[in-house]
Amino acid sequence: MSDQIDAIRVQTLRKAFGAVKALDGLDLQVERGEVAGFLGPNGAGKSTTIRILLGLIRADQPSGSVEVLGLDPWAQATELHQRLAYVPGDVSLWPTLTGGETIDFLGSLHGGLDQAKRAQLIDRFELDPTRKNRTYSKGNRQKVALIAALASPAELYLLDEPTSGLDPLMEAVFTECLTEIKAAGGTVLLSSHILAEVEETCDTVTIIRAGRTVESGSLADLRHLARSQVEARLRGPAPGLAALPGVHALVEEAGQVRFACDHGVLERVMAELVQAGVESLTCGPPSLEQLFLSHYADGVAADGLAQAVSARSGARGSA
Amino acid sequence: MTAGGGSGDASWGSVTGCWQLARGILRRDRLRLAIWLVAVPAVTLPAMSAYTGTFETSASAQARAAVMATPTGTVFGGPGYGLAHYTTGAMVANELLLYLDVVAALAAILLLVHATRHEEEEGRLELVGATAVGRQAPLAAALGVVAAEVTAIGLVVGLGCLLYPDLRTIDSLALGLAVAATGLAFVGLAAVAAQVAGTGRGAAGLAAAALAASFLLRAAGDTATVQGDAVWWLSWLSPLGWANRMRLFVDIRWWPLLIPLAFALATGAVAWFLAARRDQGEGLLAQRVGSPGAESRRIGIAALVWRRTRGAALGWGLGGLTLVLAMGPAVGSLRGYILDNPSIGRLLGVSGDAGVDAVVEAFSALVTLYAGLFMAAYAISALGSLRSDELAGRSALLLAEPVRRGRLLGLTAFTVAAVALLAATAVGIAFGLAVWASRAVDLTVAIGVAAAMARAFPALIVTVALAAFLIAACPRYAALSWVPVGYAFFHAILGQGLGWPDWTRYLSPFSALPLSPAADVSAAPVVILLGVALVLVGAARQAYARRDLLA
Repeated sequence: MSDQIDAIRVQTLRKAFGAVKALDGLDLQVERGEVAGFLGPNGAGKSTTIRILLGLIRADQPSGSVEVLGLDPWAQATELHQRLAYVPGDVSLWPTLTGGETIDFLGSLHGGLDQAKRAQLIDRFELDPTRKNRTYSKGNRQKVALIAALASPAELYLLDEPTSGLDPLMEAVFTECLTEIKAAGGTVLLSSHILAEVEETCDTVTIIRAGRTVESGSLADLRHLARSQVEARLRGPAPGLAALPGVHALVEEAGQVRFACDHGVLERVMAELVQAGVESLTCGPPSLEQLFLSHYADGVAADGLAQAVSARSGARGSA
Repeated sequence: MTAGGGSGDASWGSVTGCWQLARGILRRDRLRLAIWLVAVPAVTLPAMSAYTGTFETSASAQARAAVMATPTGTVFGGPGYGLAHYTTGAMVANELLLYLDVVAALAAILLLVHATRHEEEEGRLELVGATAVGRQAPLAAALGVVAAEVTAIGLVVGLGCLLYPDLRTIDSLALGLAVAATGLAFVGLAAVAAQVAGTGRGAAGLAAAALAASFLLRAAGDTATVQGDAVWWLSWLSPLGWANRMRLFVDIRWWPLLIPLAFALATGAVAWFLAARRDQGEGLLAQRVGSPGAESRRIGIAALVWRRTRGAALGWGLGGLTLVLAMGPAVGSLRGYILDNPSIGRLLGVSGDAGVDAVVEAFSALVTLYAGLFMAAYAISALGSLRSDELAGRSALLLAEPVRRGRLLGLTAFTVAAVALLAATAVGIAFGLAVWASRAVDLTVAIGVAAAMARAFPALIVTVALAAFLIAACPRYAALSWVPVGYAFFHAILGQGLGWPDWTRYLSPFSALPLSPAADVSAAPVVILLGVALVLVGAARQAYARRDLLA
């Protein structure tokens, strides 16, 4: 198996459950050694995609192609599973086993755990491994699955909202773990709703909606495509601003303007602002949150949400 | 049920929202409720038509009475009122009432645990509990709905009896009330079990153990009553002993009906009290701390299956063990009883040692069958963990490891089958020892009785294979695994007594092979059963590997 092969290569993937089309021509590509963010609103098909990548469910035929580590996940599931680790978003564990036993059980199926790593992870995630699974909270169950996955040697980690239920401290530990995996040359597909986490750790992002890929690329590329956020305090009015093409969601109040502007019109916008007299100016690249919203929500709702977000990020920026 | 609605009195708690919750249960469990309500009369009423065909004074009626007068009849029927003049009604009261009671009790247990502890275990009650409902409202709603359901079951059976002119109207209605009252007693018992155990499975197991204990207590008490022993009062302690004390169709008396009703109120009150004082999601049995890691670091799938199902194995195993230990002495002493009472022998139509032996063997086969059905029940509920694991997403976690689906299914089925066969072996040996302990039979007879359990092995293997196949190929219908077990149960009670045609026994693997210690077993049916099992397991492995995982 050559290292040139992509870790994940999915083309025009389809999957219907009865009349419901869960995936409708989804594309996803993850290169080796990459940490790839996988974003989408609830019900977009993230978990369905991951379950197909695991060979737990089968893509509809005829469908495009699905290749994970160069293998067909449905036909070669066992071979594939030796080389990957998986963490579901909603972990259910065998109620009569303890957390420690569960980690060892899953590890032994994987062909053995790194015992030092196991001990170290239990320590870092502050898990009490002697408790029965049924007594664990959601966060603790999540830790059990995370430790079992991270202590197994793997080339590819499929993580489906792995930090849901974890407290911020544990989220930070998880982010550290991701960095370590990346440093060791591992590949990660991280489905998440925690955008800060994705922004901090991911090299590339794929955004899906209603079973289709709507955007994918490196974060830098995506930012390039999207609007910048501008906020300025002006000495005088800037009447020409609203008329400029490429200026969106303009809010003016008490000498303060706030708007989003398309890539490429920034120069003309600046000229307009300078004419009005600039007292203060912040201009930021779009946050992932804005990217996310611009693809998630429809029309008017999107504008409203984007405004709300820009107001929030503006407040954060000036603080 | 007991307290005034929503009075806000802290000591009695609150049932605010009870009505809406009850409607929720009716909506959610409407299929379950409908199936029980239709299935119980549908299975039992046709049986009655067979009794009504018998002339009261005919020799065949008196032969039936003679069977009911034996220790076997006492154990599996009751103390035997009205045997001297064995009318159709007396037949129903002696031969069918106990089973109507058992079925009503099962309906009560399964429905109540499903509506209470199971909901709580799944976390759905937490959502409900956070809304404006009283602390005991969920319990009150479940008690109300299930109590109404078992009452309806009883009444339908009672009204159904009116279809048969041989059965007196007033006694028929009393029969319905008796079945309903017994059901109500178990509604209360199950409600207490649902407070004590922390899981739905545990609660159902606890209540089922209470049902089994009731059966044995009544069997011991009734035997003592017939034989004039000092412990005749044991039957009065058993919820299964009360209904037949009404002497239905013989010499009806109404006051025993009050005992199950009082018992239902008392147990309901205990459950009510416990529900107000425990934490949501917790039982009264405390959580324990376990091992920080797998002992050998290599806990495999077989070990997982065992850890998941050892509680069920222990429960059903102890049930089977109790059954054979209680029945063993009766089997052993039956021979002497018939030989000492030649008139009974004549009525049974048996003559000579061989004839008597045949009766003893038939009784022994019945006990072996029931013990085998206990093991089958373990096997089906244990394999059910595979389905619940799949629905909860645990199988996905496991199958994301390099484990082939066919191997997971095959190993699970193999482990369950091995545990079931080992437990059956132990129960068989215990049965032989219990028979031998009566000192009425030779060791060789006892060994034969013990060895007869092996005749149930092919049926147990087929049961496991069928359950595995249904879970793999049509998981929505996995509950159909219980059909052969239930069928064998009814075939044993009704089939022989009512002269069902011989082919009907081939409808369940448990009735297909003769379980009597002396019967000849030809190779053909064994080979066929094992072949069926092999095909089912092979098909199951294929189907399981080919379908989408459910969750």
